[in-house]
Amino acid sequence: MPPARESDEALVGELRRLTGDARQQAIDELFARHYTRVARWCFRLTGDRDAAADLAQDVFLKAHRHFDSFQGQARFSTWLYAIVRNEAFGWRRRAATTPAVDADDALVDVPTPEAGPEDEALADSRRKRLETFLADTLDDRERTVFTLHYASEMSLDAITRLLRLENPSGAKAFIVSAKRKIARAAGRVLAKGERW
Amino acid sequence: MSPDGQEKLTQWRQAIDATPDCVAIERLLGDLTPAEEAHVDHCARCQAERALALEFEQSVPGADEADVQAVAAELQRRIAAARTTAMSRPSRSLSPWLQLAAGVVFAAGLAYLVWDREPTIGKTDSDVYRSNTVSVVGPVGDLAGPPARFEWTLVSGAARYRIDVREVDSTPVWSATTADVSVAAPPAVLQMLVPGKALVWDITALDANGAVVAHSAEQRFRITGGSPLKRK
Repeated sequence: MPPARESDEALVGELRRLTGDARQQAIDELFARHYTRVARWCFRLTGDRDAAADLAQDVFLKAHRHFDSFQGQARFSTWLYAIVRNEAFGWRRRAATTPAVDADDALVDVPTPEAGPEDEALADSRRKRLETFLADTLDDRERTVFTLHYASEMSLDAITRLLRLENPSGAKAFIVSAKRKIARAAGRVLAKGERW
Repeated sequence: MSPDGQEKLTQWRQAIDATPDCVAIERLLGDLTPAEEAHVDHCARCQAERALALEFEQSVPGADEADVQAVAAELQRRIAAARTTAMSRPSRSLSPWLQLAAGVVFAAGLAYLVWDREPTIGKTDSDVYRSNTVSVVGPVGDLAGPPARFEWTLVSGAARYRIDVREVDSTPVWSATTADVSVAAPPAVLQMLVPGKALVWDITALDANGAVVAHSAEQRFRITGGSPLKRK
């Protein structure tokens, strides 16, 4: 039976004692352990092999360049994920030719709390009311899909792939359901003359 | 989209956007304090980020496995090719990463590293993961329209970021803190933006104790198009 592979963190500790080519080879081994993981996430974000390979390459270039900043305060994979996420969102901004959210998105027809004077305390209060409203109205999956689409401006196809949604219509079904629930709940609140 | 529709979408986005209480990405899958757990339980943004992080960590194969393996194979091929090139050239290091970074093998794939998408007024090339510098994404320079968001890159060890927006004479306009690497441009900033008027901003990265981890250079931007909000 082959010996158990040492953990990433143990390998990092070991390579910090190395220099030159030995250190470089240890870094290569560490990174190679995560090629498939990074490739998988990048492909699910981009939906395209070439774009995913470019993005994954950029991730590892950044990781190599900044490897010395990894102090071991988190798992290596977590540190690597922070780079993946950052590079991925940068890629999405550069690659997007059309907005992820349609101009005729039905969400714009759902009433929101009245806009008041630009007082930060009031704006924060309004934000919290909306946040609570969404938490009370949507289930966890709906709220996650809703957030990734409307706040992170991720496409529905990318969300479907990244979250491995296997239902028919994928993320779109959750968005449709979320908007229907929001519209209904908002209507009830307003019909009672209540504030959100 | 109509301005009213955009305003509504902005309100919804602000309800699910990052707040100063949000947990840093690097911590979401770790051991959280009770206060952090309570926050994540209620926060749409943290839950969404955690879902993405979990998918990365678990990395479950799926129906797309053939595509994934093809991408991984391409990545390995590029690195192997860079290593072969490195070995054939006099070099102090056999690092394939240096060869890739030098653009020996795939210049096209690296184009974005040198591609400056925006005018360089105030732009910095500060290295994002260096221990004392925050690199910003935008807004920087002359913009055709108002920016939707302020964005910067993640700093290892930072729990949150403080953004300060000022007029060019240093008069404060707006300040906020967030655990995310971007924040929506608020009305307080948007209403200042008339064509030709510049604003400056910078980012301070803070650790969990509030100590400064890194700081960005001051960035300047202005819009050259119409004003986003009518002055009241």
